[in-house]
Amino acid sequence: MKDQRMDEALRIAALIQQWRTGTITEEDLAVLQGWRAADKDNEATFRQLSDPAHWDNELQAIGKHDINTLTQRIFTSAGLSLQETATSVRQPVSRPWHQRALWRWTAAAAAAVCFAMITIQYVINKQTQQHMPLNKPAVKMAAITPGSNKATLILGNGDAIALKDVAEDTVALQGGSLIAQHQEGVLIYQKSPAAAKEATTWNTVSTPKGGKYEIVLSDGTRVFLNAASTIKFPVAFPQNSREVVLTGEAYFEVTHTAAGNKEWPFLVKIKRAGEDGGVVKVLGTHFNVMAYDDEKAVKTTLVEGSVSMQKGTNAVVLKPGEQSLWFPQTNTLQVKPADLEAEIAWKNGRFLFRSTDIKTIMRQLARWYDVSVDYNGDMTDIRFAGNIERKENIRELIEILEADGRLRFLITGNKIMVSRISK
Amino acid sequence: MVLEVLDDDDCYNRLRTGDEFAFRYLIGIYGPVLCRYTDRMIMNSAAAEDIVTEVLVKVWEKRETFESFGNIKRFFYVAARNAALQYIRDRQREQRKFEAFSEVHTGVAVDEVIYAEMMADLQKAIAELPAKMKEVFILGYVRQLTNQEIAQQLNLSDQTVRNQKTKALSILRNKLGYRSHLEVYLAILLLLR
Repeated sequence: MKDQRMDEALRIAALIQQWRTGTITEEDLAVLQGWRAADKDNEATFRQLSDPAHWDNELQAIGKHDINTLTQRIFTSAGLSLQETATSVRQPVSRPWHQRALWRWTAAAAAAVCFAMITIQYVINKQTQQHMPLNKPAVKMAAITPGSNKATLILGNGDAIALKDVAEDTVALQGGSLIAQHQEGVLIYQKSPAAAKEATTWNTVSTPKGGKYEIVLSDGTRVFLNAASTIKFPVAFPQNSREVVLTGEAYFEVTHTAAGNKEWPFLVKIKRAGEDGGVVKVLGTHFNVMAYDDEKAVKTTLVEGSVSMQKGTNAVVLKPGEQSLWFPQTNTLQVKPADLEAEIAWKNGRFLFRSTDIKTIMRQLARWYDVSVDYNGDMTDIRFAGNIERKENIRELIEILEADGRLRFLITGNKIMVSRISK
Repeated sequence: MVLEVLDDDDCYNRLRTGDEFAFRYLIGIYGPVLCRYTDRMIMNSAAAEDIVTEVLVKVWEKRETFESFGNIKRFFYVAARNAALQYIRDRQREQRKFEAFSEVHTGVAVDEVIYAEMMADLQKAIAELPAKMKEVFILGYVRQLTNQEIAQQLNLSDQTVRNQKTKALSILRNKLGYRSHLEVYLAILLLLR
């Protein structure tokens, strides 16, 4: 940052302090007001600084850094003697305070100050009440892990196989197809010559929360299944018909297959909340279908190729880069340009948010990390932008979401409580 | 060991002469504040502490070259920010594994400094609380001990504990001049009359 900006920042900081203590001069006040008026961000900063709830959060974050440790590291690095520190080594609370390094208390006390100043009545009267503790409770982070290849395969006869337990290179025969798993996370169906004669056997692959899987169907179509989703399909596609049933979310790379001179369309029947969610008709193409029960709309996003989306008597044809949205509540079907990167980010191993509201973000996290989420406060105007790997530990994400001080997250076991801080 | 809270000029003068106490004081007040300042940019507390450690060591090494306390502040805020930017750049080059959320980072440098300065003020105010009062205060609000537990630990009466807490709050409130907008507005009106 240019020196000038830094000087300005330091000066404004000093003026704000003077304003707060009522020692500001007329001229300086004018300067301060000028700064506030110059830019919306300035005004926002000013307000935030005046908001006690915001101080509280900052001081807690500051309190995380232990002064003793910091001092020791700095002194050692600078070649200074640590004698003083040695005599006032960290002691359990029972020792009289004056023998301890005072600074230990400074940051911690700072956190306490704000907490007290901001909620004086509250703290004095309700010391034993459950409120956000200044020190985060010991969180069992080990319990929350990012998703991985996990799914259940349900065979035609109803037998269920946990896919992650299946050893590599396992080959099985199911209703005319060879099922193989050559690599972790990918289940492959290959038509065997005998297939044509068999009656259609359906298999189902289901991912739990925190799971994902890839299936290659008997026609070579690749299906990438997201967490908490289910796909039902024939082990060997019968002649002239390629139909699958989807709940949740999946990305498809459909092979272009022609039977004779006719195109052989691929149909994705959507089941949402136990009901018909529409049908996507596909001819050799890459697209994403998002049809979770707890999302407001069924979204079909076309990356390349051509699809038509049909629900009841409504039908639309999509071009690459477009998406259709079907809203169950109003039974309306819309088409609009799609943010491809964002829609299929999950398939590329990432979370990508572009001004996404917090609840939508949390629903995605809930499915991937297998947690449940509750809210405290009005969340309607809280949005985030970001791009992070799905492999990341949930703590990284939570830290980021908390970083700007609008929200606080409390994690107990597998439950997350999201609370609004200001107002 | 007695803690004095130094005012800026005092700290500056003593630091120049190589007074280690003044340096400890600086670390105590600004260390954690700078860590937070840096952490907000890079989202990594451990790395933030590394950066701040380096920056403050440099402050010590250059202690004789600064012209004022403001100069020192400017140095460490800028140095920390540059190190943070470098950290982000290095990580991006390295792996592209982690891209910081853009909304948190665009053009907030000035704000960060202002926040940090305010937090430093708070730190100083707490450091200035009388010994006993400070301890009671911390046990009560940081450790969340009950009045009874504090009384036991420090060998005080319940009533004393309560008094000390109330006084501490009142002192800090006054010192930091946290007033409602209305109060300040009125104060200013009077000033302008």
